[in-house]
Order: sequence, then structure tokens, then C-alpha cells
Amino acid sequence: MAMRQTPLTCSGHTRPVVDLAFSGITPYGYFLISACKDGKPMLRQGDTGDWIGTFLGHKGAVWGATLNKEATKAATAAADFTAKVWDAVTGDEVLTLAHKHIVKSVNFTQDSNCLLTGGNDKVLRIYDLGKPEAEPQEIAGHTSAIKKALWCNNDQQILSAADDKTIRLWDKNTKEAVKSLSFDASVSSMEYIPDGEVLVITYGRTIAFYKAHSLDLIKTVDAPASIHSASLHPDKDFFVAGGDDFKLYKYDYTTKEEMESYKGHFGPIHCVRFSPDGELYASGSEDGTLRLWQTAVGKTYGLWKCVLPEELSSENSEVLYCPPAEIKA
Amino acid sequence: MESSKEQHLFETETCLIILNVAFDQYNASLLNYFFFFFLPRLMTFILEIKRSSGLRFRRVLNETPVSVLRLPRGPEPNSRGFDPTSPRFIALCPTTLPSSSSSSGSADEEEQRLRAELRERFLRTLLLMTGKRVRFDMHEHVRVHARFGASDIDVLNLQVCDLETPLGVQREALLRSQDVIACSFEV
Repeated sequence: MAMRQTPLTCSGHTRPVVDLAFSGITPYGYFLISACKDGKPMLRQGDTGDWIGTFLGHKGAVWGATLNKEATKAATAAADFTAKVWDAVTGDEVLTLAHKHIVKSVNFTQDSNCLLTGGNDKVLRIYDLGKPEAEPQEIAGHTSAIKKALWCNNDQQILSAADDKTIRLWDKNTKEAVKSLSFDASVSSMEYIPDGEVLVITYGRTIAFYKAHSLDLIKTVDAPASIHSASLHPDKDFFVAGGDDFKLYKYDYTTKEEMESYKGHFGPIHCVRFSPDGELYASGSEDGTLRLWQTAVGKTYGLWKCVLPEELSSENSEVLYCPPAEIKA
Repeated sequence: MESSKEQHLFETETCLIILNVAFDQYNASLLNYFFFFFLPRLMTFILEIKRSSGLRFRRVLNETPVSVLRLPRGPEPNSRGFDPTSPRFIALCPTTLPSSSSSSGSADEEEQRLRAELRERFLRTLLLMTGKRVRFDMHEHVRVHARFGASDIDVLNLQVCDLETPLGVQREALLRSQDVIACSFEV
């Protein structure tokens, strides 16, 4: 029997959602942070979308947000010229890092000791969270605003994408650009998969996959509309992409064929990310909502329940009124 | 949707009839009527068929939407969240109790050890009591004998058999622990 995807809508934001990030898998499940132009990033339980808390303190639109692997720390980048580090368990602000312009991107290292920031001042900064008063290490070179900055290759190198239509690979110690990629259109998003060293880049209507060490092209896929963000499944079976036409596209990674497309959002999709276990993916849109979509439609996971045909007629009304599932955190 | 389809069909038929009439007897006003009224409606009808063909196809496939247990919980209006009673908060946050000095710390530990020992003795006594004839001394100078069975997990009730009361022997009974002052039995 064919099943139709039921996305779970997470409401709460009042302005467009521009960035989202998952944590790793912790003993309490995994978590999701969403960055929104209303200045209030929110932490949610990753598999159900339940709201856990809001990080209050920023005075401008939050452009980037990230969680560390254990989901104990969160970092956000905002238009009030600061990046903040938060305790993701209590919701308290731990650190405020002042910058000279809008900060667009933040990223923790694997051990959560260093924070990488990048923004409209065209400079990458590395902060040591053990010594927050010390001056950050700076890496300059981009000729226009940095959109995204990520640690890669075991935190020894840095990947940065900027509005100057280039992506550069920097060495952390020498602070020199090791490699560079140029595009015709501005890069809209970048994702790094450590397991397999794959880089997912979107620009215009294209989703491109590169090897992270060498920046060699693996493959490109063209979509029907301008794509703002794409994410590759952890097992590298498929990837999802969303953009201007409000739809989410699911492609087979090996054959590059479009498998499915899903409507649901009421605005352009700004960010898409797979969960760390690959069972669902989250999308953030201009309409201010986050939606969680199942990878295997119909499977019982999180709040989705697989109902067999015989159960449908008798238990249909009961399914929606079940007692709430046990909350993990 | 269906009724509007029928209406559209009716209009198309009417339109075709009028066309035939128009060919037979050229009449400027009829042709005007056709071009400015029926033709746009016909075009809309065709476009609607094209757009809805996808939906009709899905109805034919009979897709069922995946059921959900409930919707994700939204933010609370008056709080910033991060529930301090959640298991994750309790496990990962440093304790808020004031840290004690070493001397009182060891006194606390000694007290805890004694409490644990006493608790264990009490539980072993309950175990030993099962099946034995026990004398219960209760409030209001009530003294009864019964065969002890078991207690519940919080020791709120005691299950007994053959309870000897002034009204007779009760085969099965539950005694409320808070009414019992003391119980004694032969080991």
C-alpha cells in the first residue's frame, strides 16, 4: 500500500529560518538547533521536533547556528556583530565574541575546544574556548563576505565559501590557502561529511559533490529550480535539496535520478540537513517553520507510526490521540 | 469539484451547439458571445483538467498519509525552556547543593551508612515475618493477631490472613501501616 509522506511541522519562529544543524547522537537522543531572523535560536529534540528551549540574548537576526557533537554547547552567529557560545543544557550564555561586522557562520571542532567564525568582514577567526580572552587567530584572503566556514580533514584544515564565488581550503597552522575553487554563481550552501570526506556544494540550480582533501569534482546534479541547500545521507544512498520553488527534492546519489519531490513549505527553503542516524531530514524555510521529513516513508520512528491496513479502519481515531510517547530530555 | 465539472461539461456542450448554429446562420452577436464568454470558460476548463489530473492519478493510486502520534510540541509562551527537571539537565548539570566541608561530609556519610543498615534490617524482618503468626499493636488499644502475608512496595498496607477480630476471624484482610504501632512475633 502506497504511503504519503506526512511532514512534522515545528512552529515557534516568527521570521524565516535561515540555518539549522544537528548534534551527534548522545545518550539522550540527538538535537537540532535552528537559526532564525527573529534573533531567537531554538533547541529542539531531533527525532520528534519537540521544543526544548530558546537561547535569548542576541539583538539581531541569527544567521548561523551549530551544536557540538555531545550537544552540550551551542554557538550562534548574528547580525548584531557577535558570535555567542551557549550551554545547551541550561540555555545560559557562556561567551560573547565581538566582531567587526555581521557574523554568518560558526563551527566547533570535534573536541569542542575551538570555534571557527566567518562573516561579512571577510576574515576567518579561530577562538580557543579554553582561553576566551586571548586574541583569535585570523585568516584573511577572501575578497568578499564569507557565507560558510567549516572545519575539515580532522580539524587540520578549514573550508570557506564566500560571495566572491570561491571556495578555499586553508591549512589551520600555516593559515595559507592550500586550494581554491571558482564558480560562475555564488555558492549558496556547503556541507562537509567527515566519513568519506565528501563536500556538498550548491550554486544556482546545481548540486555538486567534491572530495574534501583534494577538492576534486565527484559529480554534479542539476535541479529544476534554484537550490539553496542540499544534504547527503550518511550512508550516501541519496541526497535531498530544497530551493526557490518551495519543494524538497530527493535524488539517488549513485544514479543522479530524481526519486521524489515533496510540497509542504509556503516559502523558499533555506536549509536542509539529514539527521545523524539518517532516519529523517529537517528543512527550514522563509515561512518560519521547520519541517521534519522521513527518509523511509511509513516507517515507525519518532512521532511517525506505521499503521497496518486492518488497524486503519478500527484504530484510526485512536492513533492521533495516543498518550504522549516518553520524552527523552 | 464534481458539480463544477458537470457545469463545465454542460457549458462546453452548449458552446458546441451554438457554434453549429453560428455556422448555419452567421450572426455577429452570437459569434461575439462565443468569443468573449464561452471560449475563456472552455480554456479554463481544459486547464483545470490538466492541473487536477495529477490529483486524480493520486486518488487512483489510493495513497494513505503516514499517521502521526501527535504534533511536535511548540515553545511555551512565558518560559525560555531548558526544563531543570529533565533527566538530561539533572545528569549533566553540576549539583546546586552547597559543597560541604570534609568533617561534616564524613558525618553525613556515617549517617547514611547507618540509615542503610537499619533499612536493610527492617526489610529482612519483614521477610522473616511472612507466614508467621504476628501480634499487631494498633491505635486505640487495639491488639490483634493475624498471619502475616506481605507488604506493598511503600509499606503502606500489610496483607494478612486469619485476622482475629472481636467480630470474628477475617480470612483475608489489609491492615493500614499507619494504624500499626508495633508488631511482634516468635522467631
